[in-house]
Amino acid sequence: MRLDWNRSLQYIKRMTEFALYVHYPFCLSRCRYCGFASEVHDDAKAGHYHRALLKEMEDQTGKPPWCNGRLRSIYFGGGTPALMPPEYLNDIMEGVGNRLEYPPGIEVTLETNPAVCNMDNLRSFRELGVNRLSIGAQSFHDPELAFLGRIHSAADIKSAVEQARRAGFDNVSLDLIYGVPGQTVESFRISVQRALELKMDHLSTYALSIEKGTAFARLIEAGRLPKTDPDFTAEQYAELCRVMQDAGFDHYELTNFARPGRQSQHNWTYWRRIPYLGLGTAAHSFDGWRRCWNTRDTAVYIDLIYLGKTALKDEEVLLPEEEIEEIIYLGLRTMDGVDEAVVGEASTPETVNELLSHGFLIRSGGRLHVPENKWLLLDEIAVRLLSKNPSI
Amino acid sequence: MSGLRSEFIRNFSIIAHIDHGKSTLADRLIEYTGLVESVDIRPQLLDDMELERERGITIKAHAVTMNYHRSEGREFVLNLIDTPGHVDFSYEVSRSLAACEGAILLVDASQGVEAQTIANAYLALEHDLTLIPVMNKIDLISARPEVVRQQIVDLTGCQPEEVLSVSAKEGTGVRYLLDAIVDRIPAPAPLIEKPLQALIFDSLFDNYRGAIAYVRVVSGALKAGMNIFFYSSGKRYSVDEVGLLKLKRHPVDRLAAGEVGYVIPGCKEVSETRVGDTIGDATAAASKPLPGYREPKPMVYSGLFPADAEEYEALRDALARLKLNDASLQYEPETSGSLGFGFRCGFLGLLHLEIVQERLEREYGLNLVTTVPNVKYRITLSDAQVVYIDNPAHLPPYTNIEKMEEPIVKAQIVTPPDYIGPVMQLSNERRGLYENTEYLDAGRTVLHYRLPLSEIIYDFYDRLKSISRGYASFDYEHAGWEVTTMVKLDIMLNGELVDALSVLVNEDKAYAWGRRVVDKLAEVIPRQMFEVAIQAAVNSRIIARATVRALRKNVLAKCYGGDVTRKRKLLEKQKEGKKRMKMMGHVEVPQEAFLAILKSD
Ligand SMILES: Nc1nc2c(ncn2[C@@H]2O[C@H](COP(=O)(O)OP(=O)(O)O)[C@@H](O)[C@H]2O)c(=O)[nH]1
Ligand code: SF4
Repeated sequence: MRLDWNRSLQYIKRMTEFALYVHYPFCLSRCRYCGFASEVHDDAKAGHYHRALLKEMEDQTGKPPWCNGRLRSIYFGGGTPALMPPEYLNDIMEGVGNRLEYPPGIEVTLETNPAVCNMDNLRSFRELGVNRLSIGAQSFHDPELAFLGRIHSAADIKSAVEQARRAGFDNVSLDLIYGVPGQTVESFRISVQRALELKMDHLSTYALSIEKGTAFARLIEAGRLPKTDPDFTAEQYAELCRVMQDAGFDHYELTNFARPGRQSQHNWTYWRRIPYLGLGTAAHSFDGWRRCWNTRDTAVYIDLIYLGKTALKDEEVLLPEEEIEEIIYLGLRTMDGVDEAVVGEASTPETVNELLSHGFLIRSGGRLHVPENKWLLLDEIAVRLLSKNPSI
Repeated sequence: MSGLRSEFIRNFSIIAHIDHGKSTLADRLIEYTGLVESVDIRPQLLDDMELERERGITIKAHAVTMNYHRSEGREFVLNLIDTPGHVDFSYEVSRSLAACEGAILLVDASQGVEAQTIANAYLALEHDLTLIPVMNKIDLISARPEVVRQQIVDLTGCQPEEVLSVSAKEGTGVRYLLDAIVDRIPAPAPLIEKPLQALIFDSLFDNYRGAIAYVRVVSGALKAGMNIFFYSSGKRYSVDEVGLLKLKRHPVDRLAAGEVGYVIPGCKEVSETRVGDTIGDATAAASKPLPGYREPKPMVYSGLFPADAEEYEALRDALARLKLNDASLQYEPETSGSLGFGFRCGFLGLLHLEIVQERLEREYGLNLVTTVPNVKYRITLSDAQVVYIDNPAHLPPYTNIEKMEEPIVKAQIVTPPDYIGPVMQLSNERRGLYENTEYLDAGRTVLHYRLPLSEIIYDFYDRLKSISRGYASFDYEHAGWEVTTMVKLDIMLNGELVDALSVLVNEDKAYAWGRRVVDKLAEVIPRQMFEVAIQAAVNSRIIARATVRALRKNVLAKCYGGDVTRKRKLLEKQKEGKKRMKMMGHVEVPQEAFLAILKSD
């Protein structure tokens, strides 16, 4: 690929705000569907990882473009970052505070597992500046949780939320999973309702996808687990939309719901293509021009960083037309949709009109959106839009 | 030097059922006569197209000239003329045989006589060839020489002791076979004093030299520099070069009566050097051509369309280039409402179609959609006018049709008696007319049927193999026309007629065909954003329907961290996938759909 250094320089100079993502790749045990960069927690390795992480942060934040920018949100993801001893979190927050312009009140999220929440660590995290807690609830049915290989119960979720409130978290998000074999539309609805009863502020949903190398993938291959059925998943999704709408949540992105005022600032960075710096195993970064990502292997990550190198696995720079396609695709994932003028650069009026006339797009205020009941067809819609295919 | 006396020449072919070891034996003969060292012998020297090697069959005939030292002072020239191993090319086979005086009838000693063995033996006898019956693979433990020898005796009427035994693999018996070729096959008639007559039994196109004809000189002599003409076109050329076909072309001054070799007449197209045509001396008084010439006659027709409309020009150029090398390929422009611009092509058979399609895709990088192949129908209109229809779109209104006829073949199906029942059932399903049964021996029977060609061009062979666990074999020859009633079956997607999917089917089979196509399409058409209704209709009457339910989910619903790249790659992949789709009646139909329709389960 030909690198366009002038374009790159522009972005480096222009960098104003960015989000920070910190990955913590350890969990108490692996869930059976997990395809994320995580492994079973090990104290010694976690210690090495922590030091590597601090070093990577120092390296990255000390140089352009990041040194020129201002933080707009911080997100601790995983794995289970709540497994971090509060001292670790403290080191990171301190490091961030020392190096980056860090306006008060920005969103600082920490992902946690109900099984690792207790008053002590939650209080510490809150005191260290974490102001948003994302709890991996997944389901409120113990058999489903066991089947998924989760290490917590429905009761643990309830107590985690209550403890979070007591520890001072006024912004709590829950994660729920659907499309799980054995689950029903009804059982999923109940999970959603139980989450609502806990008065969470935000809900992230995850349609189970079978990732290579997971226990689920092996079971399916062996014919011992049915394949996920997209129709069934779609029914669950429709039910989810209905219940969440009744509850007064904004469906601000394909998979995310929020009470008014509680949309995740960090999430928006991805959909709006705002720059982000990712630190740690498998973390992705985007400086507005170049996207790059670290190795998925934590041991390799630690070694590379110790050796004074970057942990980069690969990188990509989009061509201008690819960039437009991405803006459209990501924009259509959100309730904001995309500017019709931008769509015009990558598609044809006939195609847009055809999609509009069949209700796969709606137009309002010069922007195009995918209606909620068609969101699950986004890829199909985007492909038609981008391949300029007018005949539906 | 050449122009040797015809008594030292032997011209022969090897005829065999597929896999009985023809190519292996040819390699052994080439090796034993010292044409190549056995160390660097490339397996199966005669099959020189990549496709031929992959499919393991000889598509086009080739020839090779070998020298054999029979005994002190007696050097012979042996010309092995290979024959195509598939019924699609039976005319080419007949021309190759016409260039010979003898043939090795090769039979696998473990398999015994099969359909192609019989068909080829009959063909050889029709050409008055001296047969040398040979059992191959006698090294196999499963060889049954006594049984198979008897089968051969029954088939050819030879004496049991005339049947030779060889192992082409190990070389056993190959010397005796070479001796038998010299001793038993007659030398060509000594016609050197007569005017030139050379039979073209194969031709090919060379990028540098133009058309090259492989010939058997029957009488007179063919010399470099002489003026020749082709009987079928009457065109005249001056010969650039003549030569022998060793493993490479080997120029000589002249080819005399009885000899086999090549001629480069300096013409640009192989359509000038037609298989079966006779080359004469342009300066001599008019004489008669050799008998048996026939225009290449396509049997199966299909539309070839570029998947990407932009590739139309490229397809046209590629067809023109293929045609240079393949005079039997015919094509003319065709326009389809659903597929756009393409070509209606005529092929010798389904294998020929597949080969052309594969070459276009592989050698020319084209991405093609092929419509359901059909045969040609002879239609007598109410006003007694006769028309030939090779495209369903051109079927005249039924009310104007007085009589419709379809091409028929005579088929021989060889099967162990255990499978006679299923074979008869299959033949009946294919509208076959039973003629008689012959018993080769306790293990083999031959069923003779008359079958409509249209019924065997799809998957008859595959079905035959599967119902007989691979034991039955089959061959056929064309046998004229018979009255039939075909109807045009149309396919509609969401109410819109897709002309590219229309087929001509026998009236009695329209319902079953419609059901099958509709079900197949429902299987291969991916679910899309709206429901797809698939209907089959005859005369605007719906006879079968199926639906593809609307797609409800197609999105990666969770974006982990900032991994936007994964999403984009997924989207790119889906975009790529759409390129293999054709929009028909607003429905995306994968290119594979056309092929899938042809395959039965
Ligand atoms: N055991 C054994 N195998 C043979 C012999 N001759 C040929 N074959 C094998 O039979 C198969 C078909 O042979 P091939 O020459 O390709 O047959 P063709 O289709 O008639 O040209 C190949 O796997 C050969 O190796 C033989 O004499 N003995
Ligand atoms: S908690 Fe999350 S990251 Fe950890 S194993 Fe389970 S699914 Fe994977």
